[in-house]
Amino acid sequence: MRIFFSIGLLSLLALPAQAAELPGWAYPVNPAPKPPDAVKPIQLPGSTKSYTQAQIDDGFNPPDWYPQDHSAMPDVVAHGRKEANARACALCHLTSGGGHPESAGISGLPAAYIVRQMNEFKSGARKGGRAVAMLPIAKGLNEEDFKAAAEYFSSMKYPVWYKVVEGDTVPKSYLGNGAMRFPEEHGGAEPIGNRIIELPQSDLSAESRDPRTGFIAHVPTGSIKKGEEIVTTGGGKSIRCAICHGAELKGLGEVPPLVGRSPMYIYRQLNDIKIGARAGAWTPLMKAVVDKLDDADMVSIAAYLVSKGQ
Amino acid sequence: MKALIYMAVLGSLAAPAMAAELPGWAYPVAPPPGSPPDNTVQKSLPGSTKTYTAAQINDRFGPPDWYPGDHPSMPDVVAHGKRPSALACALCHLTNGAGHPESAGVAGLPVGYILRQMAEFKSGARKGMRAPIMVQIASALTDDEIKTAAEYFSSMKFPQFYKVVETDMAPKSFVGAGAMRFAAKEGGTEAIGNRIIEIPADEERTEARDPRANHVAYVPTGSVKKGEAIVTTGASGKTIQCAICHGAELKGLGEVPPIIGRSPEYIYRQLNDIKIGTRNGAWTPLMKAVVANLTDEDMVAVAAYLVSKGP
Repeated sequence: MRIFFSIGLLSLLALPAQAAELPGWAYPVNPAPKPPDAVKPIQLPGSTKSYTQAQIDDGFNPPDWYPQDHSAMPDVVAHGRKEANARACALCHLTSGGGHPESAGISGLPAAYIVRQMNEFKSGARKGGRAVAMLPIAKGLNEEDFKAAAEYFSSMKYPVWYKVVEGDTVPKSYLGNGAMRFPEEHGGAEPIGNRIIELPQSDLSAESRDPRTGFIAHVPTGSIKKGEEIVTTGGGKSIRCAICHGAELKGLGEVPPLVGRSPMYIYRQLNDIKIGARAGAWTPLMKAVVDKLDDADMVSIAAYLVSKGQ
Repeated sequence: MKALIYMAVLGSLAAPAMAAELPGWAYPVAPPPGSPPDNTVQKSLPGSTKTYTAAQINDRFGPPDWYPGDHPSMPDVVAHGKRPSALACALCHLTNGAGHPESAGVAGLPVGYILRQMAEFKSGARKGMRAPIMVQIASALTDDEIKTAAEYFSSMKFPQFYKVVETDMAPKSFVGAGAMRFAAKEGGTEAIGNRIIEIPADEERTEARDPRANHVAYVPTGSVKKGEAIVTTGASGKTIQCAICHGAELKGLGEVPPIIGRSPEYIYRQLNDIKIGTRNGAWTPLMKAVVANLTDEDMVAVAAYLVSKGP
C-alpha cells in the first residue's frame, strides 16, 4: 500500500513540475509538417520577387525579398551548408535578423556573443526546448561560418519589430508549420492567463518570411509596470539588469541587448537558465538574477523589455 | 603670447595628470640592471632538497623548482618558456602561481579568464604600464602552449600569501632588481600616505623565488573598513557591489575572476588601468561603471579590504 502511495505522490509531483518548467506558449512544439504548395506565386508589397511557398520554405535557399535592405549575405547565411544538413540562417532568422517568436532575433547582438551561443549549442551548454533546431546547424558549421554569420547579423540594427498590447484576453490561436503561431480565423478570444502570445502583424508576411513586417505581443494587463519594477530596481528579489546589460538595456560589451525583442524568447532564456537548460560560461552571472523569479515575474520582465523597443 | 599661455597651461595639466595616473607604489619601475647575478654561491631553502645559485634562480628559461612535490607536473612552457622571447611563466608567477606584487598571482583563476588575458595582451587591449613583458610573451606563444599554462595554473588553489597590517607608518622601501620591492637596507619608517606597501616577510626567500614565501601588505589605517563598505554595499551608489559579478564570497563566478587574498597592488593597478583606459578588453565595459566614481583613496581601500579577506 505504501509503495502505491509513494508512486502516486511521485507522479503527482512529476507532472505539474514539467508543465511549469516548459509552458507551451513559450516553447511551441512543431506540428507534423505539411508539404508546402509549389505552384501559387506569392508576392510582397515593394518587392520585385515572386516565390512559391515551397521556395519560401527552402531551407537552403530561403527568400530574399528586399536585397537592398541588407549588405551582401555571407554564403552560410543565404544557403547554409546542405551537405552538413545545416539550414540557412536567413530561413528562420530572416535576412534582417529580426527573427520570429519561435526562433530568435539576432541582429544587433554583439558578434562575440553570437559566436559564443553557436559554440554553446554545439557543446550542449544550451539545450533548451527550442535549442534542438540549432543543434544540427551548430554541429554542421565551422568557426569561420560562425564568425561570418555573426559579423553579418551583428552589423545590422535590430528592427522595430513589436507592437505591444496589454489585455486580459487574447485571440485564440494555433501553431502552424514550423511552430509559427497564428490567430484562429473565427476563434474569438480567450483569457490570457500568465502568458505572452505573439501573433504576426500579417499572417502572409510571417508565412512568407517577410523581413519588413513584425509581430504583436499580447501581454497580461499590468505586466509591463510590474516588469519595470523588477528590471529597474531588482524588485527585492533579483538584480538590476542595467548593471550588466547597460544603462538603456541595449547591451554592454559582450552582454546582449534586451529591449524590443521577442518576449517569448526572453522568457525562454530566463526559464532555461533557471532550470539549467542554458548553462554556458557566463550563465553563472544570471543565476542570482533568476533564482527567486516566478513565472509571473518572468512574464512581466519580458513584457516590460519588449515594450521598451516600440 | 596666447600660444605660450596655451602651452604653459597644457604643460601644467599634463604632468600632474600623469603623476596621479601611475603612482609609483603600484607601478614599480625596475632599476637598470646591475652586475650579473652571482653564479657560485649555492642557495637552499628550508624543506627543499634543491640548491641554486642566484644566476640559476634568475634563469629566464629555467627558474628554480624548489618544491616539486607541491605542484602537479609543470607543462614545458611553464617551466622553461620558449626562447628567445617567452620567459618561463614560473619565473615571475612562481611554480604555484602565487606570483609577486610586481607580476600577478595567477593560481586559481578561471581557465577562460587566463586565456582571455593572454589574448588581450596580444591584441593590445591590455596595455597597462606593467603589461609590456606579457605582451612580448603572449605574442610568442601558440594557442596550445597558452592553454596548457592556463589549465596548469587554474587547477591550483591560490595560497595564503599575505599578512595585512594597517598602519600610519610603513617601512621605508625601494624597488630593486626585477621591480621587486624590499624594505630599505637602513630600515626606518615613513608616512604611508595613500599607498599600499607590499614587501617580503623574508627577503632572501622572496629573492630566491620561493613559492612558499609570504608578503606583508601595509595598508593605511582604516582602509580595510572603508573598503568593506565600498565592496559590500556599493557605498550609496558610488559603485556597484562586487559580489554581483565576482560571486557571493568574491571567489569568482563563471569566467569572472576571484579577487580576495591577492596582491592589493595588482588589484589597484587593474581598477586604475580600467579607469584610465589602458585595460580595455571585451568584458571591461562592465567594470566602467564600477570605477567611474572611485577616487585613489577608494581604490586603495577596496584593495586593502579584498586582500584582508584571504584567498
